[in-house]
Amino acid sequence: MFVCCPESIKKQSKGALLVAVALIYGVILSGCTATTQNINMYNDNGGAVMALDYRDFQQAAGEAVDSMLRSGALNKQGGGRYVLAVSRIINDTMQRIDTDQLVKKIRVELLQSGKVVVTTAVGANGAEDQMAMQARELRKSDEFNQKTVAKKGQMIAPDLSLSGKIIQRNVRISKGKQQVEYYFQLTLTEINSGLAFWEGESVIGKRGSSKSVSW
Amino acid sequence: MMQKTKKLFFVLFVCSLMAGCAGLGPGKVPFNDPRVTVVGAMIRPEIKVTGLNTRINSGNFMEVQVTGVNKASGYRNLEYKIDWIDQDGFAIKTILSRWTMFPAYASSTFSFSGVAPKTSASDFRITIRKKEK
Repeated sequence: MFVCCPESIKKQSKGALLVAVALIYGVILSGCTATTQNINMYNDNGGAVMALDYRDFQQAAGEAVDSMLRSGALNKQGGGRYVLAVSRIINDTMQRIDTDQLVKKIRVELLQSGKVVVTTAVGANGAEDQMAMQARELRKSDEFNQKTVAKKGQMIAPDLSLSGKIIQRNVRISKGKQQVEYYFQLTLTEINSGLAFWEGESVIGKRGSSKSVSW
Repeated sequence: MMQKTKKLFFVLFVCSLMAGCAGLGPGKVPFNDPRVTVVGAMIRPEIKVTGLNTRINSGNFMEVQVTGVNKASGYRNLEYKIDWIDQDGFAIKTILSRWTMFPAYASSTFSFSGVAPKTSASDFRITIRKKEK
């Protein structure tokens, strides 16, 4: 015959209660966890964010390329392709932006258009790819077949330079609301004459809560 | 008798043809180009494409312009996407093929245009839809 003392019943029920509370708490917590999912980059219906996201860079780059291809600024006299150097793209926003997010998209499109080829041997902050110059150091080495080493006077100087600026302007609408404006300004300069062959600006505006961080 | 019946049928046939074009105005035929598609049962009755122009620009890039009309009494926030196709029938991957917003004001005409990313682009497909958000 099983006889249960009141003390053990108390202990058991207390333990069961603790387990139940822990389980309920766990269920609530798991319910609050946002599930991770990949973004459908081709049809992203996700809400806008106050900061700049990939859609904004895509839009700005797309508008710039569209405008360049329509303008005729990339039509080289006598045919052939222009050589483009990427100059300074100033980030004048409150966000930490790698301006290549914008520039790379433009470069890829211009290269694929067949009108422009980009040099990586010249840039505003030095060569983007230093290997072109470093590989020329091999001229001094007896270990390398000198016929395979880059010759003197083979590099092509740029015809065009792409420079620009990304500007951010915050406007307070009301106590809890703000407007953030982003300006993507780009200029294509013909290096020989110093004249701007093409200029473009894309504006992206966002309106939302002041509590949303735009930096 | 036979002659009269023939005449009657002929008149009825001509009338049916004319009735098919009623409402379009004199000499107008409905726009029907398979290269432009308006998707969505909600907007199809009110968003009508009326014209499609193409040209080759000075850089040998194809340009396309779509014109249409918003028959609704309210503003419609729409977006379009142009998919470019090369001479071999292959789709060209480009950031120029993206959903782009454009306005269609109440009871007004609208237009938008695009440029091909490559000179090899020789065809296109345009899709118009309501902006989702």
